[in-house]
Amino acid sequence: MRFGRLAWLLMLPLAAVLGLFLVSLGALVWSSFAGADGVPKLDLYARFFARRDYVDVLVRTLWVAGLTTLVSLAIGYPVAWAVARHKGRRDWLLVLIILPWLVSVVVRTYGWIVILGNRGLLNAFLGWLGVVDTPLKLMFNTTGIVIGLVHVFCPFMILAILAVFLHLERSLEEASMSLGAGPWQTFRKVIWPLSLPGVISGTMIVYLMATGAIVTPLLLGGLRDRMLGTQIYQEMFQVFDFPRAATMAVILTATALAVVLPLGMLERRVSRNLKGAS
Amino acid sequence: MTRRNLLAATATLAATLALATPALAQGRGEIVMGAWGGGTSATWRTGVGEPFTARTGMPVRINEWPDPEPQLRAQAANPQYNMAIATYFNAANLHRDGLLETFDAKDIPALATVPDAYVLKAPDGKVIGIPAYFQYYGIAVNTDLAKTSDFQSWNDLAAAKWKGKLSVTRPIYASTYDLVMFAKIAGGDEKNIAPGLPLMKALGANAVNVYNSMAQLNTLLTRGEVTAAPYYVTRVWGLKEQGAKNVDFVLPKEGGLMLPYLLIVPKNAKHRDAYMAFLNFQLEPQQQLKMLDLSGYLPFNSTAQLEKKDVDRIGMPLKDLLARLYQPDWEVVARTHKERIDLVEQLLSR
Repeated sequence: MRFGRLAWLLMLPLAAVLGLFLVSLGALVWSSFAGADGVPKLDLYARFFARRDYVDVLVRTLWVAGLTTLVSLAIGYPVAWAVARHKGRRDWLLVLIILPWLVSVVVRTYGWIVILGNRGLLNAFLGWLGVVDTPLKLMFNTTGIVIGLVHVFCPFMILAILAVFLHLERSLEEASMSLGAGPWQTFRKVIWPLSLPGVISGTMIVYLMATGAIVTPLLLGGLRDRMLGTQIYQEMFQVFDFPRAATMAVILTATALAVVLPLGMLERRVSRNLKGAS
Repeated sequence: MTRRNLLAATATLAATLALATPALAQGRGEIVMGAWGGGTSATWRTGVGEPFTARTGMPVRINEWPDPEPQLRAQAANPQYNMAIATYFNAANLHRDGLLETFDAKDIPALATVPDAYVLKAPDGKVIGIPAYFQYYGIAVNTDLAKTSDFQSWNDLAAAKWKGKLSVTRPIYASTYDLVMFAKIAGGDEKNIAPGLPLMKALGANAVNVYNSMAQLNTLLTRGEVTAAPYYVTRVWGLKEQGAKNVDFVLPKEGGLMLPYLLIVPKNAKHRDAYMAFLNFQLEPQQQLKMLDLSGYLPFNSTAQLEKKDVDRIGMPLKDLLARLYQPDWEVVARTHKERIDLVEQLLSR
């Protein structure tokens, strides 16, 4: 009995934080529907979708977030595999993976300006090698944004997949190989299916975070590369149109959840199937 | 006394002093000021804050913020600041929403040294904020990539050869500064901005990005990632003082946009005696000239005499410069702010 009461007491701070979060979320959603007279209406949503540039911003946000997620997966998956299979100590490798997080995102993004610019290190190097005559356009476009976002979010993908790999039994691969399967078949039929829960978790995390990116698109994007997170920031802190910002935030959340919720269901189904199979 | 007791007593004393010091300061009066970061806050701290404290004994605390309006609006019910440096359109917006103190001109004797054209007034004749200093808006050029003679007119920003080579400021400022100036040179003004839209659109077509901070454009200009952009003269002067040899400023032949700044006081701010004294103090010629030395902001006090080095830096006497600068009605600009931001956003996105 004493333990039960103590547990409830210990949960009070968490309940307070959750409560405040839900109240502010509710206020945000209400603000997007409430007109100036306080009567709920869909005006703000209609006005959002009536503006061609806002729809472009939304579509671009989802596209860039998707691209960032795929590239993070393409890079993160083999890195996670290499770390999991590393025979020595993994601590230093983990530190290297999370090293980008130790630097402010603004500083990191400015660093990319130095590397990716027309007069940046990469173009200077490629020019010196004779590979390019004119600088590659690596900044002020979607390419620059995706590079910057992948740098920021790839560690999340790596850690999500690594967590699964570290629990993967080596004996399963050995059993597959001993039964005559080659490396590609072993990967396709054993390793990849077993790593899916981590892949899906990493995908959800990276996609969600990429949809809300503000700083990287601001600094590395071009004139026509606005993303919705940046637009919301502008509405809140420069135009002070809180209802419009709230509307954009609800739309962004809804479109992100439209991707993430099915992925969540898929992850549960995959995990269930894997448990059943074992 | 045991060591534990001694430590506890020391900690209690330190905590009491830490809590009491602000209370003591509040009793004496103090200035708590918000200012933009970087050079602006340093200018106010060194140029005005420290001398004010030396003369009056009242402390001056300066906190940095990216923009005055969000903070002052958020704290409207209980203002923590009693002073802020702001643009005229910030002040007009905040005043319209009843968030600022206003003053009788006679309560600010130093205001007599400021030409009336630069004093922002409410419809009832009260003064909304106290002019502090001004700078102006023209074109910054990377001289490794272009010549200053390539941008003698604002219309040169539309030239096809600059496609993908220029930068433009955020819509909040592009709609307020660039669009108004473009309208003026095309026969319109801050009330009628339609004549300025073609040049705004052309600038957007040539721009490779929107710069979101002065630090960002400073980096892009000095590194040669952009060739030119409409920009603030004090920023270019600052870059030159830091050793940049490849950036220069052009005041186009049609003139530039005057960018005045003023001190505003949130409604119901604390320590009236302190802030009234500060408002007068910063207009004294000595303080005005010190701010000019520190950051290039030009004085509003007409009795503050510029030195030869300042005249050389401007390239002309102050009187001639003022004749070439356009000062719009900032109240009109503030009133139409939101719809013009939307307009510029849509224009730049095409």
